Amino acid sequence: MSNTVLQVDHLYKEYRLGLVSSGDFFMDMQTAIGRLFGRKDPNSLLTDSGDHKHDKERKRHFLALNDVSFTVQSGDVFGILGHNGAGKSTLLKILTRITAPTAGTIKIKGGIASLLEVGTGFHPEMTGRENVYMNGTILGMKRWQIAKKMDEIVAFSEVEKFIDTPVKRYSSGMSVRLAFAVAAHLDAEIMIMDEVLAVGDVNFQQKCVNKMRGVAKDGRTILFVSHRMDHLCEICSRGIILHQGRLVYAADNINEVVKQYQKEADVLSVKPK
Amino acid sequence: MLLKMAGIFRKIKKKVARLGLDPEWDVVIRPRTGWFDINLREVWRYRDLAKLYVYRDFTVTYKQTILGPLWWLIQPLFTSGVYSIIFGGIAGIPTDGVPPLLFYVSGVVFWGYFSSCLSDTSNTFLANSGVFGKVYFPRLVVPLAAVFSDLFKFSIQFVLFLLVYFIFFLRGVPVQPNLCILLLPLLVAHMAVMGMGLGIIASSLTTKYRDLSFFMSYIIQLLMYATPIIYPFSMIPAKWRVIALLNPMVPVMEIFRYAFFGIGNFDARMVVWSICFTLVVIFLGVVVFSRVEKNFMDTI
Repeated sequence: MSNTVLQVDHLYKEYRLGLVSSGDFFMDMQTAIGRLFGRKDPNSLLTDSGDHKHDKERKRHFLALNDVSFTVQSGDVFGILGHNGAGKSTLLKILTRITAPTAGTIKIKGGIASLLEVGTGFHPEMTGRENVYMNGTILGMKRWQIAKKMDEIVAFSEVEKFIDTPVKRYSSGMSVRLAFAVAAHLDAEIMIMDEVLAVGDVNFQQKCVNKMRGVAKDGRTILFVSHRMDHLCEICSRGIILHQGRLVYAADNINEVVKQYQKEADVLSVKPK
Repeated sequence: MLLKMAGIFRKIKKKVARLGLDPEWDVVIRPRTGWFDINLREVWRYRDLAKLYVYRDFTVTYKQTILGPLWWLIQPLFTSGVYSIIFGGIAGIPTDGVPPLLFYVSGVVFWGYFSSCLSDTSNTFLANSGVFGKVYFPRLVVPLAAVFSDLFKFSIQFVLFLLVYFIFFLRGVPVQPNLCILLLPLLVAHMAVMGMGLGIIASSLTTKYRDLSFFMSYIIQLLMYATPIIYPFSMIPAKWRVIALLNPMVPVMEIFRYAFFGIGNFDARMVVWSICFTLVVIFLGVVVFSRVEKNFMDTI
């Protein structure tokens, strides 16, 4: 198992529903005091303190991820399927360390970079070139690495002419293309992609798919989330299906996963839960 | 003996694994648990980002203005002018023999650094939640960058202070600079650390309950009145001095004035108290900040 690059173990993520109000402060205190004395959190779904006094509060909690475990090998292009609200984005958010899990661990070899939302940190007043530097460093690159790849990034984005113009003068397509170009040139061993194929026109989309295939061929690992079955089938090698926070299906052949997913989708559309 | 050593070895191994230094894995993501989960090495790794944030602050702030960075000079100059008219002229507050304009420029410029460090770091999480919600990087980079871009602004304003100072000096005003001037970098660093420490505590406390953020600019203003900025320390009545001594900014301000004007009241006790306060604040700040950054996105 030496080439396992990502290992997810019994991952849970719990959210609290509703608005943050002063009542929450009381609950936070309860949790904090409980923790101070080494007791279990009375308000969490994950711990059963056997005390039914808190059942009402527990109803306000909800598990976005419920005991999810899987491993990804080096070079895998790993598809993650699921309906809206299945927990895909939560999973990616935890993987990219935007938020911490409630329980469970994730172990990663090498860097992990996300194309979750392209164009993060773009500042409208700065030029395209400045924004490439800004965005690149936010995504974890060093300045010299960006300088080395600058020409490549600019060429890929097809905005050569406007690279020294403030981004606020760009069309939305141009800034998205530039943003994607930066992200596509990241060096991380594991890349996370979420619906990013929806940017640009058909030509540019094809370019992106090609780029990703190239990245996959380099032996890098990709986690891919999309609702486009054709793209999933085209790019991915393995996959899992999430449903209401649980991992319901995993297979080493993406076609099987997609088939299973479509079957489930039919069942679900007939009998919505 | 051997058994004991093996036991210790096992313990160390366990500890290493828990700290996420497991050699086999580069990153280990785990739930938010202990209080001392601080990763300063990672902050250092992202120093390029901090530099770019400073650069961005500098270039973006005064885009599409005619006077550009000159605004950094106009603001303290105007404020000092207004202070000299109101507090020096109308209210008649003495300035211990220092010309009022010089006295107020020194106060405004020097206090300005502390207050901008504090206010610019105190809304780190709220102001950057857009970026923080999309990409991970050590969040501490942002308040650090804010402190450095404020330092940049401060150094420009400090040149203004020096200019005013020399004009008065050449006109024969009896100000006595002394060797304490060499302490200036330490004073500035002290203010930066204290301001940032208080700021990141405030920003950590406002991710879920916003109450404090309504209050922040107000608190900073009150702090200014509690520090001898617009009045000299010698004006504080003897019975209130004890309270004034508790303000950790007092010795900073007083040493600064002493270095340039030869006036100022401070002693070792005040300095030690101020340094201790700053160390505790920055330590607490980094600990709380590192804890909050792990899942503040869920509650912001």
